[in-house]
Amino acid sequence: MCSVNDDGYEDGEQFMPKTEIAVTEAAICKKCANNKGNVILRGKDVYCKVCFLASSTHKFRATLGKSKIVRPTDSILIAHSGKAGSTALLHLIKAGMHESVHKRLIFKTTVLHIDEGAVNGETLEERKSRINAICEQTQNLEFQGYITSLDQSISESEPNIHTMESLEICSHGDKMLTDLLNTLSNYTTKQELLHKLRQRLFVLVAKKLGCNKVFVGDNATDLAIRILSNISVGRGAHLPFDVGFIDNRCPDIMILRPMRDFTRKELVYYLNFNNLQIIHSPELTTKKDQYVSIQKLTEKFVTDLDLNFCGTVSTVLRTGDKLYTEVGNNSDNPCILCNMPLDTTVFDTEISAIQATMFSRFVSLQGPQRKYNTNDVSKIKINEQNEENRRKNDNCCSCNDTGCCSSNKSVKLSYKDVEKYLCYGCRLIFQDANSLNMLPPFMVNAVRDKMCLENMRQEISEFLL
Amino acid sequence: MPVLCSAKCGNNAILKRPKTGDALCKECFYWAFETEIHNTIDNGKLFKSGDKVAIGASGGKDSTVLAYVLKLLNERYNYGLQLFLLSIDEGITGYRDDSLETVKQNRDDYEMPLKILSYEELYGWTMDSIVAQIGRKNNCTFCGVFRRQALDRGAALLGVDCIATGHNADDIAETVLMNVLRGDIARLQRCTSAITSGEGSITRCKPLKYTYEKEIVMYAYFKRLVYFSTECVFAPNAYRGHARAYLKDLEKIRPSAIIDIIHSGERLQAKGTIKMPERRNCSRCGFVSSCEVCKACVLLEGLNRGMPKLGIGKSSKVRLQQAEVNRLKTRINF
Repeated sequence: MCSVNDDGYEDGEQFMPKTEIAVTEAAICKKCANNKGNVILRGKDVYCKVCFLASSTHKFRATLGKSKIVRPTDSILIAHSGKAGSTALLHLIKAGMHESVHKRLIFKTTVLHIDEGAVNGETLEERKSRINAICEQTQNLEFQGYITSLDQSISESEPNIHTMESLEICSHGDKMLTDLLNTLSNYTTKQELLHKLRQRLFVLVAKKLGCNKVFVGDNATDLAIRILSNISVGRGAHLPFDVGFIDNRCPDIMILRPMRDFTRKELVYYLNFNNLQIIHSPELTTKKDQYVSIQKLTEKFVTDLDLNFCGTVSTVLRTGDKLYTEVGNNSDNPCILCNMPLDTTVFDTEISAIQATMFSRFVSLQGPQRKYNTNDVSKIKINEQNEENRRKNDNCCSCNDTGCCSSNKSVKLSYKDVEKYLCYGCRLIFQDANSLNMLPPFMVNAVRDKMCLENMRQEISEFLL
Repeated sequence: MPVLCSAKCGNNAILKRPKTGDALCKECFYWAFETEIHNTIDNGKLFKSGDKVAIGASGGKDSTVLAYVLKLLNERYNYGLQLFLLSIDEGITGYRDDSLETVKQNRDDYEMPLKILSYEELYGWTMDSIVAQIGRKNNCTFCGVFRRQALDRGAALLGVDCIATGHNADDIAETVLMNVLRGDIARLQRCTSAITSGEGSITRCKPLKYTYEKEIVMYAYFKRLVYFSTECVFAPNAYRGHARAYLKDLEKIRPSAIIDIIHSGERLQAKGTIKMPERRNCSRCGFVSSCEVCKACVLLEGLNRGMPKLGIGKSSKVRLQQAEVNRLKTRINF
């Protein structure tokens, strides 16, 4: 049957009219109705430079202010990649800290640049010159800056950080990082893992530098793209944290997105009017076609759609704002990579995509000869349970003996063990990594710790109330 | 070198499942495909023993496979269902008249009673005549709104407990994306459920919810099921088309994307503070509606009064338009 409007949309909105951009040369600013216009936003609204900049500042202040979360006593780590969002962010904060400004911003700031040159195959020279440029930019705006490299996120130990002035590049961890990425077979998972490692590093560095909040430069267009691509990689459950203004999955360090109301276009205008330069650095999928990864495809999809139907970005973003993640029962057992509550529980009472996929795998390996009539699913569960128990007996041999859990390095792990502690989206990252040696050490250690705790819990379970 | 069936039945595999990547032989694929649908029906509690079920049949691949599989499973697992075929004749020459022939073939092949309801007898308009009046823009809005209600009416006429529709996993994933793009939070929440029921409206269920479109085509192909596959002559290049194209591209990059999107959709939760539309009954025709007067009635009135734009686009604009018309009328009366 024709599936157009099957869902009973009761309005014509699913056939959105294309936006026609028709503005005459001598258009006048909509706001002050006086100056000649310099920019067109949303395909129809004309603003002059002065009004545009004033509204940009206002918008930034409003985003920060309305949450009432940023306090004067805060110490804030500003993540600065050199791209448009964070460059404009630094400039806006600087302007907001100026003495003459009403309600001046008075929190403490530190700038952090994460060197990802190794991932993108840049030479040491290229990395040095980029860091140099970032350092100059930061110093011009009179911020104190630090540098670290992405490989610091993989290891268990505290990250190494250098001040920007030292211009030091730590390249000894490069190989570990590139090896890790090379175990992943496609760019969708590589990009996912990079993003998770970056987020983790923000938190680690913030802890080390004594900051309690992190500002990142994600803009509205980026976030709209992330909403759709996250849904497509099975991360729907965690959208509010991944794209909202506040990401407080780590209880003591919040990640905030103060640039989330600026579109890419607005950022370009803002930088242009303020004569700000962005520092280009290649990304993993730069110069690759749109089918290389889900993120890249989504970026093309959203930007193309927004060109024809203005408002796509903001509609998607507002949809994201209306969502909610329950951090309830599972909060004591978050995913070991992304730190979000696990969304992989299969309920007996209802059907779900996870259960259906498990069932598909199961029946594909059975044939019609082996008659399974009903309760097939409970059988799968029983099988898994048995296997798990068997493995436990095999592996964590002697938890009754003292010392096993404390020196848990000897416990043998399989990927199945690791999978249990990953959320749906993170499972997909590692679905084709079959060797545990390939996993970041911090993840393996986290699994070991959790398994030991679980074993201990089982030991004493009879006495727990 | 031939690949062996992964179910270890000893036969050579003839296909690779898009869903899991497993290579299967024909018999094992049939079994897996059917058993999965049984799993959805069984675990999702879509039917009760003794239910009368109407299958929304268009003659397309989804509904043809659904009718075939439901008949088969009903016998294999003793669901105790009484199955009917329910078709809607929108009155589109060159499209529906041909596909209805396929449905009639299904009726004879599967020995199920068939009920055909036409827009003409329900509303006094065929899609052909609607398009003649309003042109090719927005015609799908009429068709979609009328069809949804027509299925409800048909179900009431047949006295069935439930309508089963052929929506497959691709359709559900596309609807999730579509609702995000439209910002429709209320539908985003309920579009992934396999069974929907509400007061006053008939229960609808989607037994093929977790079945990939590609596998449905495979099943129909190997079973040699006849189905009708022509695009509607009025099918538009609309916003939904973009979501469809995006989903197909996603599937190319990562086949599991379809089920991953459904997983995402199932775990999305709206904030408690978001206002949701209420369900009630239309004050004119009595069928389910989210407003005082249902959309079908508004659209129909527009058609009959020669103001087809009524009910398309924003309601505030329509109200203005109506006020203007009324003002002019009163002036003429003076």
